[in-house]
Amino acid sequence: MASNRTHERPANRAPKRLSTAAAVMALATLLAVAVAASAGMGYVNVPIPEVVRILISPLTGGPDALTGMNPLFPVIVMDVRLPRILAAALVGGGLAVSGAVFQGLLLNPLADPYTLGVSAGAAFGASLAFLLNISFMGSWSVSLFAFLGAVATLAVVIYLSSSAGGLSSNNLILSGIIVAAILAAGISFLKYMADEQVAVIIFWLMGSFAFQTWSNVILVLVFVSLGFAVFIFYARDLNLMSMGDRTAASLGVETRRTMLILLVTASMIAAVCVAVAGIIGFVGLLVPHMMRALAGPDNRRLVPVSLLAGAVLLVAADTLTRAVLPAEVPIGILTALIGGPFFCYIFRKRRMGL
Amino acid sequence: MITMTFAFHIDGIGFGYAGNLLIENLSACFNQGKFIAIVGPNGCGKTTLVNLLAGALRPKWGRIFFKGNPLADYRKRTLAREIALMPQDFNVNFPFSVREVVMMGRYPHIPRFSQPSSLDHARVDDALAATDTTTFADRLVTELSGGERQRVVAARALAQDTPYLILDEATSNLDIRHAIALLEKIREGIEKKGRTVIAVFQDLNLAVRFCDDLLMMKNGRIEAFGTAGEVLTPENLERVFDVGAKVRFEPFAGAGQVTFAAKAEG
Repeated sequence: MASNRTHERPANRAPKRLSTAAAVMALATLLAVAVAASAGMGYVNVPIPEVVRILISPLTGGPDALTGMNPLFPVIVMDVRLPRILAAALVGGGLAVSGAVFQGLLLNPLADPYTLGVSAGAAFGASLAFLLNISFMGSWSVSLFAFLGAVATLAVVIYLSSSAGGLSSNNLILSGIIVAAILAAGISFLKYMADEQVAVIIFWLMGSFAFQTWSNVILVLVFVSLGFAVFIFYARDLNLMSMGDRTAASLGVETRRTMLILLVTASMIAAVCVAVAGIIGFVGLLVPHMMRALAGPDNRRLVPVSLLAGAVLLVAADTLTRAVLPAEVPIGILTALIGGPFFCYIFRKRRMGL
Repeated sequence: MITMTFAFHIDGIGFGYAGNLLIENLSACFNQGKFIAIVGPNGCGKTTLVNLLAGALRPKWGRIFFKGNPLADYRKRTLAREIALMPQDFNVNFPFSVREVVMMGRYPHIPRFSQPSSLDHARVDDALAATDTTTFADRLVTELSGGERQRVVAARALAQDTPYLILDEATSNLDIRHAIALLEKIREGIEKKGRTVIAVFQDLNLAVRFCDDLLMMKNGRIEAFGTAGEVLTPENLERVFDVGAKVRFEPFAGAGQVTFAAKAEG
C-alpha cells in the first residue's frame, strides 16, 4: 500500500503552479466576462455586445455612441445592475484577500475574515441600529453601526489578547471566539426585543447585494484598494509571519508592528464588506484555500490571485441568485449552501493534509 | 591599545513570567570566532537564553551588548543580516516548497520588491547541498518528516549567511550522519569565515566534539563556563545533571567523551 503512494507522489515532483502573470491575466479576463455577462442577464435581457457598447461608451464618445439602442438598456446596465455587480465583485475580492491575510497571520488555513469576531460585532451594531430605529444618517445608518460594531469588537479582541503576553495567534483566536460568543447572545437578545423588526434584522444578517448604490461601490472600492496596497507591501513579511513569530523575527520582520497593521487592515476590509452587504460566509475561507492549492502559498502571488478569484466567485453567485434562480435567495445562504459542501469535499479529499 | 569587542556581552540579565524566573542575574562574555555550546538539564533556561541573544525576547532586567552596542537598539532587519537562528523544529501549515523556505533566509538581503539575484540563488543551492536537501528541494515542507524539516530549517539559516549563528538544539531530530555533517559545515564556517556560533545541545558528547567553549546552566544560572576540558568534569556533571559520570579522552572522536550512570556511586 505504502509503495502505491510513493508511485503517486514521486520524490522530485515539482508543485504544479501557475505563473503569477498568467494566473492574474486569466482571472482578470474571467472577471471581465463575468461582469459583462451578469450585466446582460436579468428580468430584461440585454445582449452582451450591447452591454459592452454601454460599458465602453464613456471612452468612445458618451451618449452619441449609444444611438439606435433601446433607451432603457443604458439605464438598466449603468444604474441598476452595474452598482450591484461591482459591489459583489469588490466585496468578494475584499473578503478573499482579508481571509488570505488572516490565515497567514493566525498560522491557520481555517481562519477567515470573521475569526476575530468582526462579523458578530457588525451584526450586533446593525441589529442595534434596526432595533433603535436609528436613521440620522439615512440609509447609511445601519452600515455605519455595523462598521462601528466591527471596529469596537476588533479593539476588544486585540486588547484581550495583547494583555496576555504578546499578540500570539492562539490568544487572538481564543479572544475572538469568546467575544463572538458574547455578541451572539447579545444579538439573540436584540432579536428577542425587536418584535416586528426581527424580520428586517434576520434578512440583513443573511446578506444581500440588492439596493447597492454607486456610493456604496466607491466606499468599498476605497477600503479594498487601500487594504490591497498594504497587503502587497507586506506580502513578503506575511510569508515569514506564516512560519511563526520567532522565525519571522529572526528573519528581520518587526513582528508586533506588522501583526497589528495587517490585522487592523484585514479587519477593516471585512468590516466594510459586512457593513455594505451583510454577512457572507465561506468566501474568505474558501477562496484563499483554493488559490493556495493553485498558485502556492507565497502571499505575493496569493493575494492578487485571491482578490480576482473572490470577485469572480461572488459576481457569479450573486448573478445566480438575482437572474437565474426563480426566486432571489439571500447571498449569504447561497455561499454557505454551495461553499459548505464544497469545503467538506476538498477537506476529505486532502485527508486533512492542509 | 586594541580593545577586544565581544560578540555578545551579557550584563546581569534576568527574564521570567509572573513569579517564575527563567534567567536570573546572568552575566557572560562570548568571544568572536568561537563555537560556544550551552548545555544543561531540561528547563534550565538554555532556550530562553538563546532567544534573548537572538533578540526574539527582551530581558526584563540587565542588558545585552552585541558587538559593543545594546542589542535592543538594532533594527530587526539589520540584526537578520548579522544573526541567524536555527531552531529545533518548526511547524508550517502552508505548502511552501523546500526551496521557497530556504530562499526565505535570503529575504533580509533582498530589497522588498526585488527578485533574488544570482548570488541569492547560489547561496540557496549551497545551503541545500550542505544539508543534503537538494534531492527534495521541490517537495512541499508540509510533506516532510521531522528530521527532513529540521534540515530544511538548517539550510534556511545557512542561506542567511550571517557572521553569527545561533542553534537551538538544531540537531536534535537528525540522524547521526546528518548531525555530524551539519556541525562540520558550521565548524568550517568558523575556521574559514570567522563566524561565531552559539549552540544549545542536548547531546554532551556531540557538543564537546565541535565546541571551543562550554557553558553549563542550571536553574537559570551559569554553573560553569570555560573550555570544554575545564568544564566537562565528573563533579560538574554530577552537580548540574544529577547523574554519575565519567569523562575520558576518546581518540576516535578526538574529544573527551562522557559516559553516564543513573546515580553517582560514592
